Amino acid sequence: MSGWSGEGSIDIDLVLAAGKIAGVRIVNRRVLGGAAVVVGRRAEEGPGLISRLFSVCRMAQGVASVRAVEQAGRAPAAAGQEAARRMLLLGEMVLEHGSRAAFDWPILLGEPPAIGAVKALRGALTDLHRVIYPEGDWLRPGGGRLAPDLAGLTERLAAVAEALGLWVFGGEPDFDGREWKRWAGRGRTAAARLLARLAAEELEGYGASEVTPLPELSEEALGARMAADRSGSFLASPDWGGLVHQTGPLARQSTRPAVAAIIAEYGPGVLAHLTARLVELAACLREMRDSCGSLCDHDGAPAAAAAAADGCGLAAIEAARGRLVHRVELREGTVAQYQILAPTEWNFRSDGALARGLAGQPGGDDPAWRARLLVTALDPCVAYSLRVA
Amino acid sequence: MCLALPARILSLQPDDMAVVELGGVSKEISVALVDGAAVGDYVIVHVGYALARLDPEEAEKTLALFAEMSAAAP
Repeated sequence: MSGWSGEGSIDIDLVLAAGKIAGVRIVNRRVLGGAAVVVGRRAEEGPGLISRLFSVCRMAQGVASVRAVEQAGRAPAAAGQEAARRMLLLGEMVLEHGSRAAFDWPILLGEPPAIGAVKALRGALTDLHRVIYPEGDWLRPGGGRLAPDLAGLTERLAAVAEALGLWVFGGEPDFDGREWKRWAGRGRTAAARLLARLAAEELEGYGASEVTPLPELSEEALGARMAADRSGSFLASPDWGGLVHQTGPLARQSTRPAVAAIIAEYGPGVLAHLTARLVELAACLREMRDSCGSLCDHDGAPAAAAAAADGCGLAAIEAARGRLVHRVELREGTVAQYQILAPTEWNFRSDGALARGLAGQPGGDDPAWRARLLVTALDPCVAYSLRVA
Repeated sequence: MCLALPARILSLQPDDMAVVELGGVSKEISVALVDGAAVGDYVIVHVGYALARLDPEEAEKTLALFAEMSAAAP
């Protein structure tokens, strides 16, 4: 795919020698730089346009954008707005993780994907902002008019819990990973059967690498690095201090007891990745249910529109696939530069978590399947092609 | 992250498949996730699946934004 006809793709070529993956070549053809379309527009238009362009993960993109614009204008939103935004981010994480487990994971097993699960999750979560911001102004810098419909929100969360219980967890969505073997052995859902297959084929640690989780980064240092990135090479292939990192559910959940125990026993391979995603999925839904009632407890009044500002703003948020960073430069209230650093560029670098996780691994009877397993665990945000030679 | 270009459904195929026009290119995708997809509808496509139907006005606005982006591309 070329030009602007789509989202681009990631090409993965593996070379086998003596039954092992001897070479991994990754070419990231993702379309980068699309955010530049907001340059020259008024700052307050930016978040809406960014969210429209990147609508597959529009909550994360929209929240990162509106926070970056607010920081550039030195006009932060009230705590109530941030609580509402957190709810939207959690909803998108539940939608994405749930869709991976109910849709992508069955495909790995040769089972039909749970179309009903994805429909139910999308029906409840893709327009979650409507039950919190009835006027649809959630992307207004300073915040929109908050009027949460708690009954509507509760109803949606019940539908999500039911779908996840039926198609992902095979019971109450309270998975914490501690009893993963017993849970997998019962095999009630494709997610459980996939974990059981990993155990049966002793693939729990497949794809483990020394690529460490992306640490907290100083906003100042990150902003300086992005500002200096004239060629776009940092955004296309990021490192920090010369080191490659991974980002996503495993990086975020690696210190949870069950995930840490899996890493200690098998290494940070596919079992750790998949379990971390399930643990995070259950935790996000729990947080949504717990914080639902307190959405109205904070000061949520929208801030007045900022004066036409000069300045830079940076927002780093945890999106479903990992750390997402937006940086904006404003001049007299107009966007002069806009940059996005996305998680796929960390994980699918030519020498990142996928490449290093596959290099040297035994190919087994079906090396392409094993490679797809790790790609799915790392979850790129675009389609990919895989060739084995 | 991924750009989401609206695609227009040109024809419906068996097994919940459809041919769409995506940025001037015809492509076969699945419409299994979108109930009642019809010829002429705009959908958001991601990794070979239509994820959601867009109202035509929204789709046109988004396509105009992509066209602007395309014109500005080196």
